[in-house]
Amino acid sequence: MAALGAAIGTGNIWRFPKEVANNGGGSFMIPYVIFLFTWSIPILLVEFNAGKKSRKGTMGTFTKFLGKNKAWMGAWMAWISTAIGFYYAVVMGWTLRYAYGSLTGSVSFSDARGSWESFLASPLLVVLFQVIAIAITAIIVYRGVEKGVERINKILIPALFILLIASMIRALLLPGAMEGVAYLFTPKMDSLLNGKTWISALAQSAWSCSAGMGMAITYGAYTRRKDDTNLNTFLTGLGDTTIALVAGIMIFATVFGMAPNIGAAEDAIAEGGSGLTFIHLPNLFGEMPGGSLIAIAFFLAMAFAALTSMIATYENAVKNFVDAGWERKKTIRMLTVGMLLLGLPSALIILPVGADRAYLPVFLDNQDFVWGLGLVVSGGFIYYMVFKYGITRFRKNVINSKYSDIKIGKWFDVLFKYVIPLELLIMGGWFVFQTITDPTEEWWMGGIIGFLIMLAQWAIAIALLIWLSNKLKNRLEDPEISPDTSIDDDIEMIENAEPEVVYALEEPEPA
Amino acid sequence: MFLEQSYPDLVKLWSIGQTHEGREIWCVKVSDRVQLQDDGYPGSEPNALLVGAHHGNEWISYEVALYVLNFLLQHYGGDDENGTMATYLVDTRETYFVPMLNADGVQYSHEQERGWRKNREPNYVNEFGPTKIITPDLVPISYGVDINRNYGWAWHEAGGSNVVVTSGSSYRGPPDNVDNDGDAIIQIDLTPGYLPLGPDEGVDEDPWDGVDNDNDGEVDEDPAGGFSSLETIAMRKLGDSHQFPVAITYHSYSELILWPWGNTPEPPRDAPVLEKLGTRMAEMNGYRPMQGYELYPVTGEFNDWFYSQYGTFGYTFEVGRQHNIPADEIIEHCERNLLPSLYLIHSADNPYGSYVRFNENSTVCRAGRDGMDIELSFVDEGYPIPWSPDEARLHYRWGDKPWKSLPVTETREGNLTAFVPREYRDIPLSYYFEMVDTNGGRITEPLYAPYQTHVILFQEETGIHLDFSFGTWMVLLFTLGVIWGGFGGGIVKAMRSQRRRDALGN
Repeated sequence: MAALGAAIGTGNIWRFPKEVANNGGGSFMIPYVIFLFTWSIPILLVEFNAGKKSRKGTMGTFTKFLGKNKAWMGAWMAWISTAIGFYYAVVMGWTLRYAYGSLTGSVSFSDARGSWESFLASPLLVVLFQVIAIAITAIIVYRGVEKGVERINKILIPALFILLIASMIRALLLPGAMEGVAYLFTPKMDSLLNGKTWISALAQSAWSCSAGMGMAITYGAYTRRKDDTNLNTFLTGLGDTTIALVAGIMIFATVFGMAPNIGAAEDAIAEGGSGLTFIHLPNLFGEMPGGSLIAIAFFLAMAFAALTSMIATYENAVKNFVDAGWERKKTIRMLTVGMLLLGLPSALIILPVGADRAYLPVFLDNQDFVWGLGLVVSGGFIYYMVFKYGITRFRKNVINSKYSDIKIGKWFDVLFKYVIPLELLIMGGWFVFQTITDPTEEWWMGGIIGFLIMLAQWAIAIALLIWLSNKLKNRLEDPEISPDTSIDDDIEMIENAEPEVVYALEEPEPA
Repeated sequence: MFLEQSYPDLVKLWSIGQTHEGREIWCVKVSDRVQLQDDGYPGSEPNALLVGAHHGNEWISYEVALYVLNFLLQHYGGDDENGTMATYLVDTRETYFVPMLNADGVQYSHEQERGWRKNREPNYVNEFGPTKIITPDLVPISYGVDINRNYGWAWHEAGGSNVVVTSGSSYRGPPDNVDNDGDAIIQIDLTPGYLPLGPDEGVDEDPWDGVDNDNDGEVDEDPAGGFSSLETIAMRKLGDSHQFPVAITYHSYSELILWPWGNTPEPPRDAPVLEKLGTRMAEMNGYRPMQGYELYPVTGEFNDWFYSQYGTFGYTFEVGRQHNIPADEIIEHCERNLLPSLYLIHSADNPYGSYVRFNENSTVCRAGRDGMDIELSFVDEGYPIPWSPDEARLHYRWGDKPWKSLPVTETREGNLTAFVPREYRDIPLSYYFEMVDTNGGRITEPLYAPYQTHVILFQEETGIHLDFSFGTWMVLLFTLGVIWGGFGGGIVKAMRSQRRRDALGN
């Protein structure tokens, strides 16, 4: 449940429709589903089980499997999710602002663009909601995984489902909504044969499921050894995609049902991002019968999605420090201050740019771009870890256990031997190529300048992380659990060591 | 005068001459900016001329003319359809009414002799026949000239009027007997009693017929007669000083619409247009349209004169089935002739526009989600269509937003079509088509555009339409099946496992 919360974020809602629209509607769906199973779920599977095996955060896990000199790789994963968290808190603040605004009617939907730009241009308000977002997250995490995180996720995720499904049903009843659905699912042959469609689908699937962010490692560490992780991984990936589809159908139906014509609908969806979420959709909600209710539901769902992701981000970072012997509550307090300070540039650097001098959160967009791409690198680290350990061995020792609800078959070996390295190469190469050749006016997130800015930030981050890892790595070693034993061995060992606990050792019936 | 006071901005009244008995021949001009001499320069508002009471006994004729006049003034500025038409015609046309041309004859018909047709001038005859040279010894032998036989065109031709029988009801008036071009073989004063010279001697040798009868290089320079009456002289002056593209003269009776020529069965040069225009008006009032001659030959007639000299597309409306129309039926006849009259006034802008004939429901709108195709169809009359689709445009506006326009394309059926993108919801869309014909004239559909427009409201399609294509269905079912199905199945499996663990006490 918590991992699902981590995976479901605003990316499902504001990135997915845009990617679909830019990649030929239904043509995008086929590779998107394929990559869910050949990339996101396998990576998540590894992360989840590696965390379960090592009982550590990202750094500890990499130390366990690859030795302490590779701790920085784990640090990189945690850093990426944290860096994303810095600006994610700002975005979550926006969604809170709009959820609150929809509830009280204090956001004008008739002049949605004006409302949005005036909101962005008032730094106090932006920071206020950023602070609120961080505070809510910090309080929940502060209460601990059991009492805080798990409990709140049990409320938020069903609520998120219900809100989004209700919005979707309302949107589907709009006249013309079905044209949006048709657009979402109608395949175009030329797009299907275009490599860009496949690469975008891979990127979107990874981004959406948080595959490579290390959050699954952290949540894996919190599971009990006898808990199932395999089925849960599938549920996480499938649940995340389910939400993406619900949100996608809802947004397409709303935009096609309410926009004056298909051209305007396509423009709004293709713009994606904050333009779609905070300008076009509010505009349409404003005109829609019952739109104010849907606006409330939609922005609440957005806020919940952001909150669950923020919680995961927090945990991800906190766990690493706790592994290194820090006190949990102290870590949370320090992280909160850091979140706030390092998020400020994203909240405050809002510049009028581009041909139409629209106010854009430039720094935030840059961060989104820089660390979003970091996921590819993380994916590479995960692959490296499995490869070093031995693919089949990893599957047998770490992934499958007697207690798994489902067993992972040989297909995993095939994927990691052939498919994933190929995907990694192509996606990495494409990202570089795409970034360098991107003729975008938005230089801070494309083109050669953007690429260099990204590399520079990466280099600084890696240097700092290696330094940090060197300081922490000796504390991360945990001689109790050998990486070479299987999970079942570990369970047996623990049970033998603690004989007072009686476990049923019967083989579970195959379900 | 009462009208002029009531509508000072729209009405101008003046006399274009006097009758034999000294009555004024009133002319009423109706237009916006009526005091401006808005005539003859490029872009000026086109004129129309409506004439009543050529004949004294045709009382309904001036009633119809006055009814049209009254309609324009009363409905000017109105919101309804009548208001739209009246406002359009007043604002964009200059309509001249001469409702009571033969005031003397009408007076006489009312007071003395119901059947009196002609005017009331005395007719003189000397030993050579009817004459306009009145010597003291002559006494009037009868009264009245048929004004509508006293115009110049073909006045000299036989068979269309009473030539020598001055008491006849179609007496054309006395001959000219003037050597207008100074080429007579002998130059003499036209002293009373002198034997008039004839065409052979160089007098009246080139009458109004459009032919250079004497082969001297000039056409119609020495007419044989016509314009002996004050009324026709007044009308000729009016015609000379104003450009009238169209005219109607109301008469009674026969329920006919007649156009030139009246003196010959030969079709006029503009026969297709005259016929088309006449036929369309006839469709409006249910009259029978024909070239004047088909009814009976007439000479010296109003429409022939205006058409031959000024190119005016003039029509005779023969109103009703009798001269004596009961008082309570007058309005009925007036109303019946209102629409064709307004149509002709409208056509003053571009009589050739009548070539293009639109269907009853000429525009078809196919509303889609994005906007709508508006298609304009017209009846194929077998004529070459005198406008080019390249210059045709569709003008439209949403509610009271500014007008916009779009080029149109020609469909395979030859219809015109344009796609209006949807920009607003729940506000009506007004539109009209505008074309420019090969004469540079403007043709619009609807007729009185932009005062009159088609208006539609987008109808939202309601209900859920699952008319997806096969490919869409496949992708939709595949995606939702795998993802939602997989997720649902996974949840069920997870719950089962959970239950089993609980059962194991774990």
